[in-house]
Amino acid sequence: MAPLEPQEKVLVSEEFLESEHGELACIDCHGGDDSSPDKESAHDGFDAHPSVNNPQETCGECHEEIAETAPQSLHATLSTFPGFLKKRVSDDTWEAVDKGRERHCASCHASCGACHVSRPKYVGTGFVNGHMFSAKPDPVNQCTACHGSRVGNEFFGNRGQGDIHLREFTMSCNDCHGADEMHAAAPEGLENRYHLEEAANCKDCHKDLQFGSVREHRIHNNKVQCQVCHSQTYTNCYSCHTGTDEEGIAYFVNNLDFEDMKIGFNPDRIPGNNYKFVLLRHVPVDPNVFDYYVKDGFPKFDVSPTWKRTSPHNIQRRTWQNVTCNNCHGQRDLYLSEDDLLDYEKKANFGLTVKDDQIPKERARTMAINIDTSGVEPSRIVDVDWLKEHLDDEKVVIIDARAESDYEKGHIPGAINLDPNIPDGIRKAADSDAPLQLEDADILGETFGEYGMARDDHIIVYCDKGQNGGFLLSVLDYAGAQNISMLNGGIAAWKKAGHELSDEEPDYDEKTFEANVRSELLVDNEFVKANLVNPNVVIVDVRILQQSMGLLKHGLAERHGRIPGSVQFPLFGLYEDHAGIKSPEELLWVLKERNIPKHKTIVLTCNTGMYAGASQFIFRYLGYPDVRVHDESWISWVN
Amino acid sequence: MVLHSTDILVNQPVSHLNQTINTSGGLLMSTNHRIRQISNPLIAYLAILALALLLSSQAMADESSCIVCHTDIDLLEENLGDGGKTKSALQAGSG
Repeated sequence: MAPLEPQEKVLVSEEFLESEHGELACIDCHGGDDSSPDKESAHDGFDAHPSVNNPQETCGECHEEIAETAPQSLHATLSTFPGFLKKRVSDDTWEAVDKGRERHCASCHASCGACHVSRPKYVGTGFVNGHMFSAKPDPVNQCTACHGSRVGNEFFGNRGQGDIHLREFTMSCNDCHGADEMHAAAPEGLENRYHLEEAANCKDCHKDLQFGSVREHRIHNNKVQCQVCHSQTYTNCYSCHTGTDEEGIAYFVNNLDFEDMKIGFNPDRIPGNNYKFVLLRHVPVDPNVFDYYVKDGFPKFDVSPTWKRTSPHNIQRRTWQNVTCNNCHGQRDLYLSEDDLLDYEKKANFGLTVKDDQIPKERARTMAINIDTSGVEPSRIVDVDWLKEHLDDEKVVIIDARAESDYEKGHIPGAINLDPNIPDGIRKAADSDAPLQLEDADILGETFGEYGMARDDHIIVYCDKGQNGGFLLSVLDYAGAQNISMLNGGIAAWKKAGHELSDEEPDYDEKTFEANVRSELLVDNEFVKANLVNPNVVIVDVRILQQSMGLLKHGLAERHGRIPGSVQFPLFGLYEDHAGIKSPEELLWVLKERNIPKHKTIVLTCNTGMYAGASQFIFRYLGYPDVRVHDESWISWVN
Repeated sequence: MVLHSTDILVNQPVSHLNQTINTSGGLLMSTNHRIRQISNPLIAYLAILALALLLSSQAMADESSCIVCHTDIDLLEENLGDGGKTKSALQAGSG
């Protein structure tokens, strides 16, 4: 989230002045001297955050009951966090560890204002809407401004398909996490947030599942946490470290995060959540996290697990693991094993791992899934071992599609950098008559030739998240390249395999790339308009749900919204974190499940055509025979 | 608000006050009765002063000098610095 300009942060709107809160004098809440025309003296005694410093006498003047409990809420105190740390420290190290916690981990404290009027401190503060107060927090500017990297990304489809509660029922954060939970005072010594009596629970709405029509609910009720069957993969973090930079600003770095899913034994069986099996997430805690402050700060590191119960916010009614019994039963990789644990955390997670003989047994008879994978073109994906073997092949050209700054930090030896976000030579300029429209064939051919590619080369593209590489591959495909592949897992997979990185730009010769356009891969607005109600055409919006649901818009778009009748399927439902490709069986099943069948014409649309292109590459890999990119997409449609 | 005369409050048309009384119930009846009983100019002056102070302390936000600046983006831009750097460029990863 881009920070606001200083003047934007404190600009009060006329609408606020006419609102109920606008009837109060500024000084009633903020102090200062409202009769002074001088900035300095006007702000003498001024309190920018009265709901932090003086909640009882400001917000509490009217919202008395809330102000009694909210200052002790988990949002205000993060009280469970020091509780976890205290378990692991000794009397000698607590003071230093707590200092580190306060400097690096406590910036997420939320006051009344951080949920009802301003962006929270973690993202630089500033009014969300001209100082207007909103009873319901803004899910984009407030809730996921802090809860963004996991919850927000999962919920809005920056990782995975997004959450069905948002997509199908337009539910917002506070529809589950209401005022009762948010304002509740956390009891002294609360073990974790799930122990809060007012905490949200799936069963608050989905009641009495054991009596419903779904057989699997009757079988698994109270044994298996809901998310085990209804989540997509989620983010795990490893190895957080803290420090202070040259300017004295405190920072933290999570050295590794990746998408995965692990089922384990419940480490925290309590009434209401007394499941045997739950989803577990690796939390970023590390024995050395506060080494900057104190060495060996956690002499009792093993007393608390590093894999914790998790509740991903990317729920689907139907998921790959609940398609059939044996997608879960007998699937060793889905269950946390001893091999998943690092040396330093084996004792900490005692009792959570699932041994081979503890995994629910495969069922002899299950329903067939019937996914036809015969159309998949496996040559469109290569893995790191293949690339390592073919690095020096004469016809292999490797393209690094990341930003130049990332390329310079280290790339696969011999890789040429071409970031397709820089439109010069690939897309028309943003300020042209056709902003970000794909360039004409001859210009595309020239560009690819300049970067050392010929049409009959085997062009391998990689990046770090999927969208850059996938988009570039779709443009190469459109321009007539004959042999293109994506490196599965991108640069992260290369590093994980321990292969060398280079910081040298390779010497290469320009080539001739004679573009031979596959015009059937690209459509314009006219085509989309003409086929809005064509039952043989499916328009798929692959933007994140924030945009397709109208909560955010692209900078070049004049309005929010989406094309009528379009199906929402975010790009990152196709790619795993770090440009990993999900199995063809899973992808084909999920696309069929979402009514995006192979036998229809698929039109992929996004903001500018980039995400659509990255999606097209995967659809073509899966063998979809007729899949087209909506050139310039939403910005041309709406402008 | 500037009040020069006790007449403004004390000598409000009785019909107006009665209207308020009639629609608001018995509690105000006695208040109105007391207002009509005010005859001492000093007491009346003090009452007006107290009311004026009360009103000025409850001035609406749009009457304060704060608003002169905080509703004018150009003025704010002139008066504010760059806001300072609060986050390290080194910070990375999921939080």
